[in-house]
Amino acid sequence: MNAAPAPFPGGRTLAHHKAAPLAQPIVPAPRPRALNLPLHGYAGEPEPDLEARLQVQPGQRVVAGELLLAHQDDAHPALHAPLAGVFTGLHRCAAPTDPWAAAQHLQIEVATDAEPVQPPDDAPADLDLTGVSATDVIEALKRCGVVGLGGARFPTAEKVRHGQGAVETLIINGVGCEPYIACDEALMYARPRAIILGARLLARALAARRIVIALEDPVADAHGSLVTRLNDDLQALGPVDVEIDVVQVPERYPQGAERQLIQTLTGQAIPHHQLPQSFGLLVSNVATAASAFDATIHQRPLTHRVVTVTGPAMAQPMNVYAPIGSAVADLIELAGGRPDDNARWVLGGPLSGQPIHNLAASIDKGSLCVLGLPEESSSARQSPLPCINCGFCVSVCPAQLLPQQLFKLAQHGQHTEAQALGMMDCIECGLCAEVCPSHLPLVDAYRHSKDWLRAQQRDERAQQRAKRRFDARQARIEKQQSADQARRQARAERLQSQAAAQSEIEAALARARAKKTGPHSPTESGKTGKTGESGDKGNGGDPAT
Amino acid sequence: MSVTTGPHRPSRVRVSTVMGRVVIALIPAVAVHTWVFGTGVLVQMALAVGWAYLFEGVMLWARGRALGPFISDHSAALAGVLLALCLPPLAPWYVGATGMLFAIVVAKHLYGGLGQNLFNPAMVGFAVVIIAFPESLTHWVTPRSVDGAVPDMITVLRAIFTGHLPSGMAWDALSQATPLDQIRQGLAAGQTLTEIGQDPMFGGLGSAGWEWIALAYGLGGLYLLKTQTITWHVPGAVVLATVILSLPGWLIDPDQFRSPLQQLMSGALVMAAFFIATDPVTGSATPKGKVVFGIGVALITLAIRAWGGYPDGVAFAVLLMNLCVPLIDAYTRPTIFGHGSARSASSAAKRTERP
Repeated sequence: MNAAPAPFPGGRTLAHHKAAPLAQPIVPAPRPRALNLPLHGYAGEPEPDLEARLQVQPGQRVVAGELLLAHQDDAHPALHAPLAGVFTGLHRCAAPTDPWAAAQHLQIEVATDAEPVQPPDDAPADLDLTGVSATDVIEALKRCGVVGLGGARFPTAEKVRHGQGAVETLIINGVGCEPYIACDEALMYARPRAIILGARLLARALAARRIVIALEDPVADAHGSLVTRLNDDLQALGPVDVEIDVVQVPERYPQGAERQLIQTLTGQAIPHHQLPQSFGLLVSNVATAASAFDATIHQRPLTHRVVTVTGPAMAQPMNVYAPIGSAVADLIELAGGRPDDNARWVLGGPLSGQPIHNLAASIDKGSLCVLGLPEESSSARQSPLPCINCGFCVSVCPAQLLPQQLFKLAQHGQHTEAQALGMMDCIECGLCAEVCPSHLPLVDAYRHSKDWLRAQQRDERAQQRAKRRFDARQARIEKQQSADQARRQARAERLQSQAAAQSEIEAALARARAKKTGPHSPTESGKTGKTGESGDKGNGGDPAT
Repeated sequence: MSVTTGPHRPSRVRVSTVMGRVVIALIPAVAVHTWVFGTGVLVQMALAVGWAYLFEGVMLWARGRALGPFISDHSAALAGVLLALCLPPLAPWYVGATGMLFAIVVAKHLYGGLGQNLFNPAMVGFAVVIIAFPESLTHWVTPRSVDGAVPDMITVLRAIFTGHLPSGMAWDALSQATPLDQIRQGLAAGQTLTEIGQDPMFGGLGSAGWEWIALAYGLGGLYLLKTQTITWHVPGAVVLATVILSLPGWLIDPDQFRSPLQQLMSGALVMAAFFIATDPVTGSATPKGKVVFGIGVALITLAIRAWGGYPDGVAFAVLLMNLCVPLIDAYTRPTIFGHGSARSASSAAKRTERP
């Protein structure tokens, strides 16, 4: 199954620049002095119930793999200490790509005798997975804090639980389509069996019948074909209960984006308001599969990840097995780059990556790549020219948008109009900016516009909530008032007749006597009687109750 | 450490590259044009480009814009070359100057400069001179392939700078109506196309000299397609629409209706297809819209040729279609990925089955 039934629209074939970091095996990062583990949940929301979930006290010694932050619910995964050391507490420091947003970090001062963690070996060929149940897998994913390692950091346990029963085909995404980013390829060369077994465990948890491992195989000529390696390992691992295929897809950016990959493999464009699960499909990254294997079989928490540290600014581009919370500057130095160079440092790839503002900031579970591009001379980087509507961006846009029109709307603050033209369907792949002859910062404008729209939606939701609350309160008050009204009227009618009035008075006297002879002291009972009376009165008039 | 937003690897293809490629693609046409009509073409071009840069510089200064990045984008030069190619080679100097004044000052800068203009600057300039100097615009030099010679440099310079020919020469001897004009007048006089076509000015493919120029424009157009400077949509639509629209009439009555080949090979239709209607700024932004734009240009050009008061209508066709661009864009937006009609869930899962 090598042919693409219907490739995704747009896109562009780019030089991959991956041979250099793949020329050597994954390098373990040396022991850092400290680790700052970023604490931001999925989609940048703050972590809830931080105090309650924190499993360690400041000043407490921790061992490698110790639980720092407990799993809250499926949306807020657990976090573990990558290396032994002392937990020094919560620190608020800047995020690498956003100078304004300070994020909470769990800081660990790494012990001087802590051994750097070596990249794990590949799984043995004779491993038996029988006896591992779906629940075992999901529990292991939760316990070990496994999240989507393709960049989204979505908790894998939740993704699997949502897909259970609905997913027929599990797609394992090894399509590292963006130039320079070679962490997925490095992992596929190093641990093909762990990926295959991890995929089988995920498929078991999902009750999926098929697994498709998709990849581009960009450096097959230089370093051997990954397709062949994976197929050999499939043979070596022997027959299994699920069908497994290895599919090579054409090199075309952004082939690795979830919906674009599904389009290429199945010919199906997942509607914008639906998830792949609705079509019996689920996409998971190769590194996530390997980490699901580590979690389920070896109970190894997710504390390290492969990060590609590359680009012309590095003397020795490499794939680093880095503990989560490593400083970007340390990784750059490891790869022979100089953090004080006047280079353009990017977290992520050259197209979709974001500029790094603070090299002291640290990587998280979703960091794929630290890229150093040489800063062009000022003559090469001219200020942007006006858009000439050349349409280059239209022809490369994988979402089939009109990027130049969206840009103009975003620039003029017409975000609602931009939304009508599909602003929220932009996947921020960066191709439009890459081909723009006017060097316009298109993606930047889209991010701004999308942030504005999201904030607007949040405000609207908050307004609606407030309005619902207000309406409910109004209704409650009205109901109370009409009930009081009815009661008062009923009493007034009863008092109309002389006999009834007499008996009312007697009843009141009897109540008062009963209270006096009660267990309370006279002053207290008097007070109570009074309060009761005024309370009764108050109930009728005070709308606040 | 400098921190700047993306694009992290800005495109090597700049606006000046795009405009420069179009100028390069015009070289074959300019060469053939010069061979057919003489050095007057080059003089017109030098003058027009000179005016273009002058007006561009003055307007940039007047609008308080940076001179450097905008003067070097080659867009002014391109407008100058395109207008010069539309002018009769012996037209007086003020014709080109007026054309460039309206092209650069009015059509381009008064509408906001590069990227903001609604109308194709070169065509605005040309439309103005068609209306302002109808007399000068009819004096087209007789092509070399018809009378074997073109005016020499002295004649050219005198005609352009004084507006008069050297003594002993007459416009009648030197120039003739363009084939399109000849057909229009002939048909109006009740002649059939077969009778009109006897004249040697109609050459092998529809009009002597002009047919080679059209082919040279096509060659340059292929270069633009090859370098992905333009897409196939506009030229494809113009050429195909011309053929489809002119074919039925010609099949029914070849004495009254011109053949598709003659329509394409005379006048400025091929030039418009690859170089004028493909102007990105004033054209449609969407792929479908580009097709509609091209069809519109062909349709209006053929209509003006058949029924209008001018022998060729490319300039007016392009300007009229420029007017329609906002409407075209609004109705031809591509379907956003994931917004089309979805197939059923089971079929998607089945597609990944082993063959």
